[in-house]
Amino acid sequence: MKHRWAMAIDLDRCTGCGACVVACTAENNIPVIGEEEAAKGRLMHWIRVNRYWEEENPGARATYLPVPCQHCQRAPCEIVCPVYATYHSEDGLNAMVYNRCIGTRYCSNNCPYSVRVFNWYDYRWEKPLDEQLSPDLSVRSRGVMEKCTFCIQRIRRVKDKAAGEGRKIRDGEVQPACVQTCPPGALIFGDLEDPDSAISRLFKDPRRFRLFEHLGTEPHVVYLKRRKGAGA
Amino acid sequence: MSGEHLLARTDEAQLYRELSRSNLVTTWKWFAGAGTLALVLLWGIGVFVYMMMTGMGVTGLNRPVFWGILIVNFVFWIGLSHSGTLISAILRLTHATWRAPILRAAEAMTAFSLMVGGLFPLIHLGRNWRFYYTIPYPNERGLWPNMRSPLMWDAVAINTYLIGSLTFLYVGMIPDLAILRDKSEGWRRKQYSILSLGFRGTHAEWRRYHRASTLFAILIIPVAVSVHSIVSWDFAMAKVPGWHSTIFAPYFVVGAIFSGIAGVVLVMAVLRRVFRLERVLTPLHFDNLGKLLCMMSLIWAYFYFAEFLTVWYNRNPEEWEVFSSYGKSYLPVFLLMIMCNFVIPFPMLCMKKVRRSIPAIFFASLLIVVGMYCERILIVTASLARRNDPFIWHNYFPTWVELSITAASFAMFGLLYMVFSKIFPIMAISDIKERLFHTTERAFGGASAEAIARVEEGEEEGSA
Amino acid sequence: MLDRRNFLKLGGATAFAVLFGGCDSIPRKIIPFVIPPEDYTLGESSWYASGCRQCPAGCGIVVRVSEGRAKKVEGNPLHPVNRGKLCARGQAALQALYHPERLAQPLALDGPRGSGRHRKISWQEALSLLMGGLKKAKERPASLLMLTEPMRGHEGLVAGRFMQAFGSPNRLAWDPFGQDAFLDGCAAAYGARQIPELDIANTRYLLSFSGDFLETWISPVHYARAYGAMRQDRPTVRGKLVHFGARLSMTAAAADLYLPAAPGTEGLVALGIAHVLVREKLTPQAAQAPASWKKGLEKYSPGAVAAKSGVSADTLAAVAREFASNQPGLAVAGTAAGSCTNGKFQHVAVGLLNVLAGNVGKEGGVLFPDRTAEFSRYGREARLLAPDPGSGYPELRAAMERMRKGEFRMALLAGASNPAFTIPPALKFSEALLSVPFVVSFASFLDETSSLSDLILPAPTFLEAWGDDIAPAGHEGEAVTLLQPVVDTFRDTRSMPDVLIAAARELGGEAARALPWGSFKECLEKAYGGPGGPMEKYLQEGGIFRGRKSSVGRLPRAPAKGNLPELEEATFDGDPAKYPLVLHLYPSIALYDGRGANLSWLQELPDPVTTAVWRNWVEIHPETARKLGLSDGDGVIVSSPAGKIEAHVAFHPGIAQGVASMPLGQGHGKFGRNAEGRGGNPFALLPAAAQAGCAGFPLQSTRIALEKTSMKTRLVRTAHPEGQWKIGNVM
Repeated sequence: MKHRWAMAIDLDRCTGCGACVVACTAENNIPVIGEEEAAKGRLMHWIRVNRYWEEENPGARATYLPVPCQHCQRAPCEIVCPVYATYHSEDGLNAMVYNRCIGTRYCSNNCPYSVRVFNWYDYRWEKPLDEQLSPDLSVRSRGVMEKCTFCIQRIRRVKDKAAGEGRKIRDGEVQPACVQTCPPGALIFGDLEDPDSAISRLFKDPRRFRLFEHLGTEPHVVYLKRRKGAGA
Repeated sequence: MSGEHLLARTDEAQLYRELSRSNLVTTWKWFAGAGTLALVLLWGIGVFVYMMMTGMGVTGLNRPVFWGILIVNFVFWIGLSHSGTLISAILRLTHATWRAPILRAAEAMTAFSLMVGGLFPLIHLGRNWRFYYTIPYPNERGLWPNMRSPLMWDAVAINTYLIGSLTFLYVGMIPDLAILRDKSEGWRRKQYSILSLGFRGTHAEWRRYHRASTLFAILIIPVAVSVHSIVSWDFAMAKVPGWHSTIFAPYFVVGAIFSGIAGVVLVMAVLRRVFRLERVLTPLHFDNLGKLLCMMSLIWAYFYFAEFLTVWYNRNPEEWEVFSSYGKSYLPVFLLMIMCNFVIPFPMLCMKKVRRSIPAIFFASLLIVVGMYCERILIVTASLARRNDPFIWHNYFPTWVELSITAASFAMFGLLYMVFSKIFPIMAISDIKERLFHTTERAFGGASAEAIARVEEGEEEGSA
Repeated sequence: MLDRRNFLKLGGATAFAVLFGGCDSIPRKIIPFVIPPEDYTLGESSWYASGCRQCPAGCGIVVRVSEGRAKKVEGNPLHPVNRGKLCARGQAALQALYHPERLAQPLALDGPRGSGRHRKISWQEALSLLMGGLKKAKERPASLLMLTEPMRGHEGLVAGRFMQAFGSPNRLAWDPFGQDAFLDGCAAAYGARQIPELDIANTRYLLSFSGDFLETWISPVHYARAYGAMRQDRPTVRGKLVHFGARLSMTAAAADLYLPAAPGTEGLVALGIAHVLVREKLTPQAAQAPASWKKGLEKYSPGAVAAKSGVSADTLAAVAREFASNQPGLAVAGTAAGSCTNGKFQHVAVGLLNVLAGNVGKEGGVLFPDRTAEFSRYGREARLLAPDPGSGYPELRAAMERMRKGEFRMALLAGASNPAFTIPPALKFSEALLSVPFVVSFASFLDETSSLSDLILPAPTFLEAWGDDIAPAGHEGEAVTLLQPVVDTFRDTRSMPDVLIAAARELGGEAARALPWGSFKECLEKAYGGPGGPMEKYLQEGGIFRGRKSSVGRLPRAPAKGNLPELEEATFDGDPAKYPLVLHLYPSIALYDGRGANLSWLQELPDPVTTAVWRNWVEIHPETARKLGLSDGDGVIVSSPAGKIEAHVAFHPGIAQGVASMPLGQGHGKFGRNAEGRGGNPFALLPAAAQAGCAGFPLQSTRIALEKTSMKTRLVRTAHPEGQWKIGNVM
């Protein structure tokens, strides 16, 4: 069964609340680093919500832009890794194998979206907070890169389930943690190989745009522009 | 002008004593110097181990600045390495006869700065203990390194260059080692007998020696050019504004030669002073290198201008952000770079007086080395600090860990050089002798000067 | 043999690779462990439905439990309030469950009262201390005080009956963000004192008056879902959001048009819009408005409103016309409007717009479903199960007077609203509490309040407890959330209802008769027909969701004719010459009233507006800062007539000049490592004087001055100060 997973982020719905960030933290065993390390620009979140300002009051505006890994079709991170620690899966995902990584950090330098984060230390979970850690994936050791996986473990779970029941995966059945929780429904996930899926429709939406499209990375994340104006 | 300072009047024994002074006497100063450097190096190694055990978090790196001055050091040392082999090879091929006294110093510098520089990609790995994942050998992982990665090109290029320049250094040293073998005794004699490969100075040996050195000189030039091109491609291949530029390969080569020559001047000035080689390393040599430096400064400025102009005119916001940060957070570094690379040294080096004054040209070269270091700080860290997404911009300052390792790299270079100069002939004795062979003293008007009869390859062979 | 930890490590370390190992043939060979053993499959986990208690919104949750440990909290897709969605705070409940600083054992005071020094004791000893206190208090029943956060569901019933049977009327509920003003406003504007259902999803034009419905107000997840639907769920209609307010908040950022208005003038702006509606007869209801309204509204012309609010007259009129022509529309006022000293007026004025637009009881407008129908069988006691979502501020103030007079012998405290932190120190709550001779807390953590107690009984987190809940908003008809322990109690804890039931049994008599169950679980089983009964299904689904289509409910009567709200102006404590800035306080999106401050996930979640983490700040306009000689990030002493705290300046381009705003929630002195030492507590700036005309807790009631000071800390923000302006580089 061929899949091509993709995400749409509707900026007309996004409120910038950060629920996706915490959902991802809980799902993917993402460490908390503390104030000092945060000051050094080392937050480990796999999805961040950018907030841009425009103008000062009166007329001030804030725009939110959630940025997870864009899972580029032509991912710049993949070609520069000397040890194939990051590669392209058959499902169109940009995958990361932690135990292959030697920490050149070249992938993160080559990522125009700066969504890759590096394990600067061996991050610890003070007991008993480690009881919360998900058994589906590891905690990462110092010296390796990590990043959003589109919650590969959740994809796998649904794949197994569908295979067990001998059916196709239903549209909307696979939901990464961020998509699952997004209160205004700004994140939509699905399979582009399924022509009837919501995501396939959104990939043709006239509001769509991709981040740094001119760089030719062909992301699997599309953004839907905020619409202006009232009523119909 | 009295002719006493001229080497042409020196008899062979005196010449040997003078040129191999470094090998003969070991003063307490040498031990003090080497000891200090060894301490700094040990400290750096300790700090590196600490960094490896704790994690790269002890550096000033962050997102988006994932590469910092450890990579700057890498580029810097690889750049310095261009002095040597390239200069000596070009000078050899173009029969620049004044080259003889600088050859060895420059070639040794190449080898050592490559050794130091080549360590940095390993030092900065997040998991250094897994560095062998990058080595292509049949392994239980069933995985070859990714040859599409410029880092792998780098590894190949640097290793090739290191092997090539070591060979170049060694082959060039064989006749000298033979001389040393003949003149020394004890363990030194043993050592030199082995290393000189039985070179006796027969005509056939000399002929092979000359052929081999010419061949190596021809081969090493493309390697040297390719190495720094590939180092530049580490950057230029990436989708990083400020890195992704077609001009980078030649620009890096020029920068490397520029800083390399400055490095040679520094090393020569030090050697001249320490080993009292005033008669061998004359102002003439510094003058010639000064001219080269002057030209490279101009070329460097031209490249910089060309790169700046296109970005400025185009105003692609992503690229322009990098350059405009030079005017803000990175202004001190930028000013230092411009002053040290062009504004101060260029006019200085235009003046013969300066080029012939060793303190002055030493100062200018020092500026250039500092300026080129700044240039690499700007290229590596400023570009990363102003990535495509402005929201996550973050500045970078190295920590004591990175500074310690940097200091240790200088100490390591110095130490290698000191040990080398103690064991091997730091002056190319045979080349100097060869030059003397072709040199006569001539009177020019009221003064006498050395005149050198240039011997073409064919002639030499014919005269045999 | 793999033990559990190694299994986690190994399994986890390679799970990702394993997952891919299966779908790609080439990388199979890469690292041996990529090929999993034949029997290696992803661990099975169970999902348990329950309810969220991280804030009073009452969302439904499902919790992933694997090997007896809770791994992830998600929204319950069946639950009408949040339909599978959950906010950051809800998800962080796991960190409270597995918090290293959770109370594991009862604590008894070990030192002077209020010293915060305690020693560990056994439950047996703790219960005998408790019973000793209760028996002593029983001699004069009214000397027992119970102070909790508002308790809903059978927990409230147990607590209420216990106090009744004990004979004490002194049961208080404290919620610093209580909806007193909104309730009063609804009573005046719609004739129904209840939180209405705001049908944001179906509205076409949403007027927000300092609304914070996307952030912390009443039921933010419910409203955020509705907001998303309003924007993009309808194929041809996109609802427009216009926001008036002193500060560009997260909700304001979502607006299509953000119009800065002076603090406390939201109601005035609403009257200005009403003026235009009536003058221009823009809606049928406005055209038929009683003459007294017409006359009363005359003085609120856009021009007059503009002078005071700073919203330009033309824009105001244009918004009024757009609002009228895009019906159904909806007007909503939020915390900042309702917690001004004229809060009730503001809500009435905003409500008036819904009345004039004819949106009461209409889809896309304000609805009044009967949410408590499920509890109607309790008759008068239904109020115990579904209390008013008020702040309880007036009652608490009165009770504090009585505490000082020594009227109470014993106090029972519970809940997360932490009065010693959220009540301004000027009111001296701690002092009042310590004048009660015996204070008992039910708490999961040592915080400012529980650490004052003589006896602390460790309570389970809501993930380990039984319970039921009825949400204040988001119900379509009848719905009750059921809470169940998703994991075994992780620490040796007992829930407050369980302890009260046991205490009632021991007290005997009326109390034992009022609480006739063996445990709280039994109480719930009796109420919901389990086990074996329907409760099993309810527990599986997370509650009782009758799935009835939204009933409009009782249609409230329109306000009596001639009953136009009289303009009240917001007052702010302090001399403008000495205290030049009006202080605007808002609940922190991540920390709420401060109850989330000990959870590191929430501390490390960048604030949506300032992107700050781990610390408190004060937002001012760059121009205001320039006048005061302050730069971004400077340390300042924030002083009001009532108190002084330290904070860092954070430039906020979207705040009115002359206003400074601070998030509530940081500034804990006693709430564990994550919470302590993160700046000052802005509650400390609030005045002690009772505010006339203010129904609830007046958060917007003081002026402040800023004075530069040197601080060792720095404010960490994830946005680059220059880069955050360069949206043009990205979009």
